[in-house]
Amino acid sequence: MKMKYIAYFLVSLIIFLFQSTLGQYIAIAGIVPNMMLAFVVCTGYKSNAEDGLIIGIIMGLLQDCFFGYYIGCNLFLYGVIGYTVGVLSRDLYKNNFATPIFFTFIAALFYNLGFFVLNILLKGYTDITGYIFLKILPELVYDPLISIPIYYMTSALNRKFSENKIKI
Amino acid sequence: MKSKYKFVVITLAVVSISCAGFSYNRSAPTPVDSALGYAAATAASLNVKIIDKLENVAAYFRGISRLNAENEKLREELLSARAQLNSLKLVEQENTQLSALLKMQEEYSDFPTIGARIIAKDPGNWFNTFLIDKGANYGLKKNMAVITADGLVGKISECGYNYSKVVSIIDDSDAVSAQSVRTNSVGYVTADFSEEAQCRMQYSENNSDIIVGDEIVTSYISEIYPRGISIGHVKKLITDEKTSLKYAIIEPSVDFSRLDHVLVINKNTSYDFTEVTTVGSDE
Repeated sequence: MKMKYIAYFLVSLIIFLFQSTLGQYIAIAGIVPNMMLAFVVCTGYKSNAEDGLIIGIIMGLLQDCFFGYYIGCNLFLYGVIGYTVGVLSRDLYKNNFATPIFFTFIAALFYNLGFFVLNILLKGYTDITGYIFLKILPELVYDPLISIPIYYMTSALNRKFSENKIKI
Repeated sequence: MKSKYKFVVITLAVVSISCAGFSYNRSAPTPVDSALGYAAATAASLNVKIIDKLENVAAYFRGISRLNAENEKLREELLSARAQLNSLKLVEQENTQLSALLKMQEEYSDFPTIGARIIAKDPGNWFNTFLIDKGANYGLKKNMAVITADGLVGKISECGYNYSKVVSIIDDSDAVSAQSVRTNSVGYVTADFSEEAQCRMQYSENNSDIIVGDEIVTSYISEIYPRGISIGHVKKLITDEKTSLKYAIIEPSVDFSRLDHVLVINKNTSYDFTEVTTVGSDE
């Protein structure tokens, strides 16, 4: 079981590094699809709520430590998203790639609105229209698309570790 | 029956002999001769042509495997040549960038400068922060200005041991004290989200005489930025309907989507970088 969390951490780190360096090369119109969010959602869906929470916390901490102005914003948002997706998909059929697409859409909407509230609105800027058209809407299109490869990667990871669990 | 044979043989002999008699000692070919010769020559050359053609076809089929191998080889060569060309182009691009930075460094020779490379950008789309590959190990500190050959990029907001976090001027968490070159009117530049990758300049006095096309540079008031670094050009003048405040939309002179090499400037001259000599050859 310990191996699973080490693997989670390593995969999260790889996705974070990929997103912050090579992710700029797959940006369309200056918007990078959020693979980290997709990974959090897919883990929450494929595994369980606790794993989603753990991945969310890892991802949030990584992003906050390296790029945020304060630690806590992404930590909270990713953690909540991972846990909620895990709880909501507890009784769902787990081998369907279309469900994480839907979940990623909702999560991207929640994440971006939450980010706006926590970082921009509380600063006193109330004008959201520019943000909606330049940042939120493109992400709502890209994130569900990027969640398809992330879903297959997550299910491969999950299969590997559930096999180990049965053996032990 | 026998007489018929005889007749044929005798006629043939007579015709042959007369032909021989006629053709013996001639200087030019007779018309019959030349006609026959013409036909034969044509046929022969045609024949030769056909044989040539057939040989070509045979050679074609014989050489196909060799040609395929050669083609493969040439293709590989072309690929490697192209790759080489591209890498050369990249080197050239880098060279022009670095030499432009070197020129900038001479321009700001009053202040210590150091070159750095961008290694990562914010994974989200909200902030415009990025990391550069030098930190406290090169003597970088918080609140040093970051520029490129085109103009101002931002400032260092956090310093790790071997990396620094840079906040760019198109990020709305930061503002830069600025002035227009033409009229000296002062204000501050911050991010604006009405159009992408653009800044706005808020004036300190409301009846400023800035017009479209004015160049905006960093002002003499700032403690972080050296004065006179280009920020951008005024693109549009806007009056806020609710607050009746005037501001200018500014097109930054730096292309933030294509940042690679930057120069860090330290305005606080009492403090120096630890390895200033390595500027430009820091790969």
